[in-house]
Formats: sequence, structure tokens, C-alpha cells
Amino acid sequence: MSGLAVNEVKKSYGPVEAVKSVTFTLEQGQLMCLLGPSGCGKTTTLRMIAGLEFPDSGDILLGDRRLNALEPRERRIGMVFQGLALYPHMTALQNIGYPLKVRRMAQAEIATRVNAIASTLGIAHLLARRPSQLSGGEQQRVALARALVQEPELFLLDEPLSALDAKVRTVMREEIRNVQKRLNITTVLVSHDQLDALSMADMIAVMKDGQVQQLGSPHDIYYQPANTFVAQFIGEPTMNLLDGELGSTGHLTFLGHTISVGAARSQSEPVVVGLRPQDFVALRHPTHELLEFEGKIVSTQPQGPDIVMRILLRDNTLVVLLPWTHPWSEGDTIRLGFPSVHMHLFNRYSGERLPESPNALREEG
Amino acid sequence: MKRIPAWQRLLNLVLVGIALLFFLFPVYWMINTALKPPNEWLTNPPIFFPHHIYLTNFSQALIHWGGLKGLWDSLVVSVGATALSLVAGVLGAYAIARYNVGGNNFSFFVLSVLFFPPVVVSIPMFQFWRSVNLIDTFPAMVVQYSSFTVPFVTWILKGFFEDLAIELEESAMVNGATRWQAFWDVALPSVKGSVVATALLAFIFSWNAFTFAVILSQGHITTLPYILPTLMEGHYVLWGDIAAIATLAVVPIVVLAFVLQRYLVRGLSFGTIRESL
Repeated sequence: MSGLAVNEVKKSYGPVEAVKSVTFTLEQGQLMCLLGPSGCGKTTTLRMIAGLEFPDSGDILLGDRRLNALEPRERRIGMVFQGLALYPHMTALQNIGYPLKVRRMAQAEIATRVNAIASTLGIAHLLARRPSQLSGGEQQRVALARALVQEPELFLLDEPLSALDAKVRTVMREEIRNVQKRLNITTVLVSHDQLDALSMADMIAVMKDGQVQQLGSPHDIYYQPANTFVAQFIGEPTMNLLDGELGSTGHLTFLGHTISVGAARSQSEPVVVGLRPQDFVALRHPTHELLEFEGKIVSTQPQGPDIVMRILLRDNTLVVLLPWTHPWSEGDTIRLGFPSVHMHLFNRYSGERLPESPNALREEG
Repeated sequence: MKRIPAWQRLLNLVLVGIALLFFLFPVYWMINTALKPPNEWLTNPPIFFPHHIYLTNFSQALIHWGGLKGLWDSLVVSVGATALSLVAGVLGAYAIARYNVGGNNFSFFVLSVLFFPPVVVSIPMFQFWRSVNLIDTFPAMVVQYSSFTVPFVTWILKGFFEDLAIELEESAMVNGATRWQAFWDVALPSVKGSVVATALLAFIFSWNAFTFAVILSQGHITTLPYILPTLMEGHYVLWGDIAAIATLAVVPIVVLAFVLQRYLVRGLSFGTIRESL
């Protein structure tokens, strides 16, 4: 049983720095999600952990073993690939048993272990079938079983859900998380889908351009994004970013409002204000507790219980998500309120989160 | 489904019929001639159906003209060349596809070997085999035939290996396999159909090889393509005997193609091996 430590791992392909420097540690039994857009280096990082690529520098430690120079087969890992990589000429039974067979385990032992893991994943009745005779979700389970049958010290998942349709995805997220917890296995998951990360991970590393942008719990990442990239990458619809000015008196000015957000400072600073679409409320009457905005509805997009609208407001377009309690339509004027504790403040040039950001968590806690 | 009009279907049938006639008539005429006595080979008007089955051509061909030995020699050389091409070609194709062996132009060089006609290398090869004292032996024939079938097999299978998702082998290696085991357990079985189909084509090339047979044989090893022209004497051509040998030569290929037909269609239709990925 062991945790994983990745220390300043770098990888370049010619002039392209795929992974600039990635560092994180993961405790035994935790699930880490490497989250980011395509080309951010998350898959390369995972492949280095698996031994399918070798880092130019840095260290990868599993427990007290240094993995860097080990061949994949010597690392004691189980991996689920993006395309699942089930062997088309083998039955589910042979697929799942392959890691044991190739390590020369006795037939009887293989059968016992395969049946155990297959029952855990609910596919014991499908073992005689070939991959082409299985549904997407079933193939997924076979791939999981094959990765877990050897009781690896580390479990790696490369976009394991990308081939599944939405319903099955939701089921498999829960399933993977349950199995991972039950086996108490240290896990690294790669995904570009924030829902995968938020719903499954203990820790998320948001990556961009070969670097970790933020490392933290799903809650931290969502409520205290470290910079504008993370702020906009996490959350659906995307967070609104508006230009504002943080004055030397500690007052923030944006969209016609001036509010106090902190202590006085040496000089004023241009900032970006982040407002999540979900944090808006529709107002019938003026109130003094909330920041108020009045704008014109440009477009509406009902989503069942909720509605997403674009609001034109002083040359800015805001996206808001509200409970669909009123038959709003394009051209209507709408009065919105926003609790200032939910604002996020970022430096306009670096994009980094400012310490003056109100902390909604602390105030509500 | 769109319904195809009757006249179009009729046209299809007629065109297919013409094509079939074009390709099958010589086969029919070969068998027809093989079953006729000498005085019926070249008549005017031609005899389209033998009056009675005349099997002497076959016994003549098999015994007197060495058809039986020809079959055996052809079989040994073709099986040998096919086996050698498979071993070298499969490994070569995998090496090129996965490890880019020889750089980017090497695979084209392999292909280019197929471009020049056998006759170009005939004289030097003849000199070579004679100088090493192997002229007119099975090893020389097998190696010489392979000079054509190895590049062929390599080139075709390289494409199939490249089409195979590399994830399959990577997953095998993560699961505990060495590179060789990943190839042997996973990559090779995944392209099995294509390997069988390619092997059959290599076998057919070897079976039909004429130039190399004539160059390398001095009458000791006599493959069927070598025997056939010996039956065309200066003043008289033994059409019935030739037809009988030709008919016998076709049989093994037809049998093989029939046995392997399920691989032929699937194995040579590119892109189908990804189905379960």
C-alpha cells in the first residue's frame, strides 16, 4: 500500500515542452484527477507514471520505490486506456485474466481471481463473450476488471469515460469511485471533463500548457479558483469575467457599483471580477443586501428546472443561470441581484486570484 | 433502401455476365481441352463439350511429363518461400510500423523492390547461385522466390500494424508483458486474418513464379511453371497435356482460397480491425 509522489517531472518532444514541471503527492487510497483541455500535458504526465514515456528529469515515487527507469510491467500498476484497449481476439475472461497469465500464475488461481473481480463489477455472467459482443458500459467494466485483477499498487485511468453516452457515464463515475474506495487503491485519473473531476476526485490538479495551475480539493477548486483560467475552466456555464478597478481606499468599482472589499492600499489596481452564473438571483423589488443590476435579456436557453440567459448590461454581456420561475423572453428587462461574498477578484494582468476576494465559505461557515 | 429499377438490375446482370465470360472462358477451355483426345484439340468448328471423358492427358501429364514431381517441387518451393516471407515479413513489418526501423524512407525502399521485374536481376542471381554451388536446389529457389514475397508481405502487413491501435500493446505491457509478449499475445493475433490473406497471396505468387524457375532450374528441380513450356516442341504443341497440367496446377490454389475465404474478405478489407476499439 503506497502513496504516489511526482516531483518536478519534465518532458519535452524536441522543442515542444509537453510537461514543463509537474509536482504533486497523493496519499494512499486517494483519487487524483489531472484535469485540463487537450494538449495541457495531463496524458503525458499519466503516461510517464505508467512507464509508457520516460521523463527528461524529475522523480516518480510509488511508496518507497522510484519508478523512473522501470519498464511498465515492473511498476505494479493497473491502467484503463482511453480506447479501453480490450484485446478483440480474447473473451472477457481471457482479457481480464491476461495480466495474471502473462505473469505465469496457475490456471486455477487465475480463474478464482477473475471471478472475484468480475462479481465485484457485476460482469460475471459476461465472461464468455468477446469485446465486440459487449455494450459500452460492459466493455468499460471489463477494462476496469482487467486493470484491477492483479491488485496493483496504483490505478491509472486515461479518459476512461469519453466513449460512453451521458447516462452510462454517470453510472460509471459512481461505479469507478465505489470500486476505488472499496479496494482503497491510490488512483490517478485523466480527464478533460470537469464533472468527472468534481464528482470522483479527492484532489484535482488543473493543468494548462504543461503546468499545474491549481492543486486542491474539488471544493477549493470550485470556490477558490487560483486564477482566471481555473475559474473559467470549472463551472458550467462559464464564469463571467468583468473588468473593474480596485481603488486605493479598498473600494471596488465595476458595472456602476462601488463596494468596500478590503483595507486601504498603496495604489489602485485594475482587476477582473468573476461572477458565477449560478450565484445570481432574480429580483422583483429592490433590496439593499445585494449588488443590483438591471439589464436586457438577449437570449434564453431553458434547461428544464433552470434557464440560462444572456443579459446585456452596460455594454457587457452576462450569462446567468436562474430557476425557471418566470416566463422570461428575449427583449425583456430583468432585475438581478448578486451577493457580493460570491465575487472572485483576479489581477487583470497576471490573472492570479487576489487576497481581497471575498471568502463566501468563511462567512457562511 | 432505394429501389433499383429493373432495367438497371438487368444491365448489371449483363455486364457481370460479360465479365465472367471473359475471365471464365479460358478456364473452361483449359478443362475442356484437358479432357479431349489429341485429334479433337484443334478442330474447326471447335468442340465445346468432349464426346467422352478422355483421361489419358492427365496420366501422361502426371507420369510421363513429370507433373507429379512438378506438383511436389512447386509445393516445397512455395511453402518454403511463403513460410520464410511470413517470418521475415511479419517481424519486419512490425519493426517498421512500431519502431520506424531504417528511418522514414526504408519502407518505401522495401516496396521499391517490387517495382523491378525479376528479369532485371536474373543474370546476376544466376551467377551468384552458381558460384555458391546452390543452383537448382530447394534452398536457392526458396530464398530467391522470397526476394519478391518478403517485400510484398512486409509492405502489406506494415499497413495493418500501423492501423492497429498502439494502446493494445501498451496495455499489454502495463499488464505485465514484455515487448515481445505484447507483439505475440496481442498485436499478431489482432491482425491474424490479414496475415493469413497475405500469406495466401505470397503462396500464389510463388506458385506462379516463372522467371526465377527457369533461371534457377537446370532440370533437377522442376516446378509446374517450368514444366509447361517444355511441352511446346518445335513442330508440335501438346495442348491436351499442357491443359491437364495447368488444370492440376489450379487445384491447390482453389482449395486454399476456398478453405481460407473467410480470412480473404475480412483480412484484406483495410480498417476493419479497429472494430472493438
